[in-house]
Amino acid sequence: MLILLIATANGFKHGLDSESSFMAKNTFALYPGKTTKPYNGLQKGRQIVFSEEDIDFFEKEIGKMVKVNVFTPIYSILGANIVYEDENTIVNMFCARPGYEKIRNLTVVEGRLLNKTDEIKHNKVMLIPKRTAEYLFEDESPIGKHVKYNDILFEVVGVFTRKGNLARERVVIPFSTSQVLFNPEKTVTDITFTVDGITTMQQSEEFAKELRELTAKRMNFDPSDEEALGIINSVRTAARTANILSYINLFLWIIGISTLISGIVGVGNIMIVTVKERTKEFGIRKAMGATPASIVGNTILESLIITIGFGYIGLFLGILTTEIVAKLLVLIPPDKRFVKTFMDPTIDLPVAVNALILLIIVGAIAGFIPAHKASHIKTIDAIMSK
Amino acid sequence: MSIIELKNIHKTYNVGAPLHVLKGINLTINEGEFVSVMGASGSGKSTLLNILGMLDNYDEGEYLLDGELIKDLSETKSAKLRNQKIGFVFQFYNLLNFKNAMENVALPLYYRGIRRKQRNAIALEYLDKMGIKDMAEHLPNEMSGGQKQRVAIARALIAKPKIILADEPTGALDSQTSKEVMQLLREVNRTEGVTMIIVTHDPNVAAQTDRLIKIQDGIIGDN
Repeated sequence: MLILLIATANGFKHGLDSESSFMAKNTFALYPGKTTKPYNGLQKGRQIVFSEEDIDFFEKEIGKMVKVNVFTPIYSILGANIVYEDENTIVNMFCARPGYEKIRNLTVVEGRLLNKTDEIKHNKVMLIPKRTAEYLFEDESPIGKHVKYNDILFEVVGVFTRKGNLARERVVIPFSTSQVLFNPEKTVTDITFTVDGITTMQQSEEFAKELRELTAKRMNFDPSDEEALGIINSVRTAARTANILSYINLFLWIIGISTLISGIVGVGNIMIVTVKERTKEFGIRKAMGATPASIVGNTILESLIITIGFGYIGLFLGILTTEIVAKLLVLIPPDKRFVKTFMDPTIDLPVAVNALILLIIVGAIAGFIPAHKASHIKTIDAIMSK
Repeated sequence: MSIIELKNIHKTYNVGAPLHVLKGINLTINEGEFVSVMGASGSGKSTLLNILGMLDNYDEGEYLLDGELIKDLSETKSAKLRNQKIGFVFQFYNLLNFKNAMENVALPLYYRGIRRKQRNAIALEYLDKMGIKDMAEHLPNEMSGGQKQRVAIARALIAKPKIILADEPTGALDSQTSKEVMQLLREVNRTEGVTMIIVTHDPNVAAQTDRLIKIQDGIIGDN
């Protein structure tokens, strides 16, 4: 029982972890929006647009505020149709500077990452995710092959995997290339960067406030206008997720421990009854020369056999069930799952072993107390009982 | 050579009001004797037997068993002494129902730490002596009263005790079987030299022993 519960909790935990881990945990992003308040004589409903100069300005200014690891403007094309020979697939195209892989936890499994040369030379190169590669190229290696988007050929230079599940796969091309090819207005979708030294929720919220003030001043909008600028604060998101998880965990532990306690009471009761039934037998054994210690020892042994035996069966069934569920879940594609934030509901072996050890200790105690009592009944009373 | 020596033994039970059961018992039993203890119910004869068998303790006086003072012994120590010196035969046999005759007989040897194979072999030997070797694999509830009592006697003998304490050994048996059991006890007494103490209220049984000890109101009457 306990095992199933903890496994369920772990399932949500793994699910939430993977959901949130598509983004590095120290990421901030600025998404320009539309103003909803007039400011400095400007009308409301104005679209905020980051220009190239703005991007340079923010890179410099934010660098003064905190230690920035990776900084990139991003231009994203949602629902891009990628073609290879007669296969095609719809993806989201993210155009970013090198280092983007650190923000989105991408790991290259074949080929290479995007580099500075790609960025400077506006190279028409592309990173594609493993699943897209498998779909478009099947068994072939995609490296060096060309895929087409909008009648423009891109060379595939790398294949990556990443943590987490997203509804639609993402491909990556250099930011500068996108500005040249698709974006004459030189606008960006957002600015994303990772920072060092901001770890607590409080720090992250203060930093987000400073970012808002900085942006408001530069872009000329009311700092209290929430709609004009969206800020993604993954430190806060991670902290919140951890919070929810700790509550789920706590809740399940309480239920689990209650179950365990009822198990303890159950075993204890069984042992009290059996010992009581066997008082006469103990008396006879004592008349034949059994010491109290040998009687207590035997009873504890029996109690242990019961608890270990059934504990082991329970453990086995529990783990079997959770492993089967975990295997079945993998077979269902992520976008068709009933609950998306449920994944790999298995229990860690140490936890299971600890539960079993606890059960064994409990079994020993449950056997010891009544047996100890019975062994100290006067021999003659024990023989005469019943 | 006395094997049991009781000096001024007192025993009081506290069941609500104090009940003074043994009021100064003085008794000597020699090695190899075949004695019976008689008395009306409530006279204290069972209490005396329990004290002799170290199944119960006494309040006052001295009990010397084979020259050793038995007083305020720990459970562990008295269990050991019982195992070595005393064999019990009870009125209602007190066999373990889930063990067969052979295993029941072998039980005292288990507490001596003798290995299963060896103790079962010895147990078979004793069942043979009792004339019920063919019942070795039977459980107690598959046996008659006489057979059960024979198993109990075999069990009492197997540890080669100095004394056998028998509490109404024929109390639950018919007269023919009673006779056989008494003959068996007599034979054991003669061949093995075991001191035999039989508690009974049956004059016929008492008559078959060498010495009669009468208990009345917690003291030994005239023998």
